[in-house]
Amino acid sequence: MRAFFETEVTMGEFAELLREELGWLQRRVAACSRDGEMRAELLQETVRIALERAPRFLAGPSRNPRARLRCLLLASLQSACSRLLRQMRWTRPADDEISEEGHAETPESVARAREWRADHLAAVRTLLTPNLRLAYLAVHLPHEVEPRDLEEAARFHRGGAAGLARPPEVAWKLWRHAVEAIYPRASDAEWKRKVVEILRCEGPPGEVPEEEIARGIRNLDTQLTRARARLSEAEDEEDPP
Amino acid sequence: MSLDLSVVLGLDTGATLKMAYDFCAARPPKEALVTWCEKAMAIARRLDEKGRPEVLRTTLEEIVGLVEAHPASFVEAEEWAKERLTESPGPWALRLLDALASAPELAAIDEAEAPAPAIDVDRLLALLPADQLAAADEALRAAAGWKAAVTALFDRARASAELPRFAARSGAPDEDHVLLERIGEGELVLTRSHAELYVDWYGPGEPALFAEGVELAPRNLPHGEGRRWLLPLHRRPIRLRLVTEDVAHSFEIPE
Repeated sequence: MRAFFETEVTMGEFAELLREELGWLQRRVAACSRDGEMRAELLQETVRIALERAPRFLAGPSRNPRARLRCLLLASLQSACSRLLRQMRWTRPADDEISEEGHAETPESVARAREWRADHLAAVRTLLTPNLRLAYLAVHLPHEVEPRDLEEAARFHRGGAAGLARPPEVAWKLWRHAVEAIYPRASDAEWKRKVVEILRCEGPPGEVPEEEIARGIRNLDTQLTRARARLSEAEDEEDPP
Repeated sequence: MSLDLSVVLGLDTGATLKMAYDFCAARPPKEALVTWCEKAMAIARRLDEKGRPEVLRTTLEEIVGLVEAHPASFVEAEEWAKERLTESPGPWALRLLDALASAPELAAIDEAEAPAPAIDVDRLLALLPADQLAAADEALRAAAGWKAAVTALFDRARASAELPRFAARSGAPDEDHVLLERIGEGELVLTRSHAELYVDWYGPGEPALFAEGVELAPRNLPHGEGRRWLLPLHRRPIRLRLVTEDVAHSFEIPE
């Protein structure tokens, strides 16, 4: 846990505004982390960064102090996430760079691949919103998908190809079977099709109309592009100038 | 003096940004939102094409920040954004479209049941460094008092014109200033020198400044660090546009 200077604080303008926005910030922090200790650390680090940046960020005409403060807190949360992830080693995600332990040849490279995978997974879980996270994990790290990923994506289902089309428990059963029986022998294109069929379509697997599958794949590709852009953006912030 | 052609032809970062702030304060009708989205998208596309001027980058970053921080105001742009996401957008356009397409999901996160507090609020506040809190408080106070500071500057200019000797004897400063806008890598400052008011640009390039649609004659700042324009109008509000290349940044000196 990062240390702060202990001081007595009277309730000034910043503290007052921050207190009003802390509930909102806690929701955003919770969306980045399932771990209680990491949440506390992220929250403290976010507020610390925001306070450092506040004088310059808030100077000038008062357009909307609350809107500005939320922007400041959000930018600070992103920096806090990046700083936290900087402690881990993770590399730019791309289709051909997703490490597989099976491809490693020595005990050292197996260990490195495992470490990379854990760090990359942490980045995905921290930086992506539930729908993008599910899309990315389902395609690139299917063994890492958990029932909670499906539940979180289903919560934001708004129809169309976004979110989860089936009840989470039904989707989970189909998913487990697909990961065990189909994933090991599927090509990339076949697996993407299966992901869409299970997660993004409502009909029985194998009976989904072709145009629905095609639309789902287009939407999935768009989400993967967005997910990669977000991960790369965060990684760019990590790089020293 | 020339007419401000950018009103018709160019992008306006100031107006687009102001509208985004207005949307954060009050959720807009869908039609107004989509019209605004097209303007924001034009900024993103220009960035993808040319990568300059710098004001486009800072504006788009601020817009994306506002969308992600206040998603409830932008949820109705989801479909508009998703349609354009299929058109292989450039990196800046992708960033804007991703923020807009994510708005419903982020809004749902904001509306979700509050999680158990990760840390006690009072303890968190008590742990913050007092000097940094004081600096942040000062910035907030200055921002809240910005309009009053502008008015005071105009009042002092008027007083200085009417009673120059009294002003000199009273020990009032000869010059003072207020930050008007931070635009890209530069700052626009309203400066009073005795009875005269100037808009000063501290930043890169040689932008033009239009007041009420008419270009003002520029001069160099005393130490060559930017440009200066004498404000001919002391009646407010004054609508100004700073123009770099064909990109304008509209703003207003309030009444």
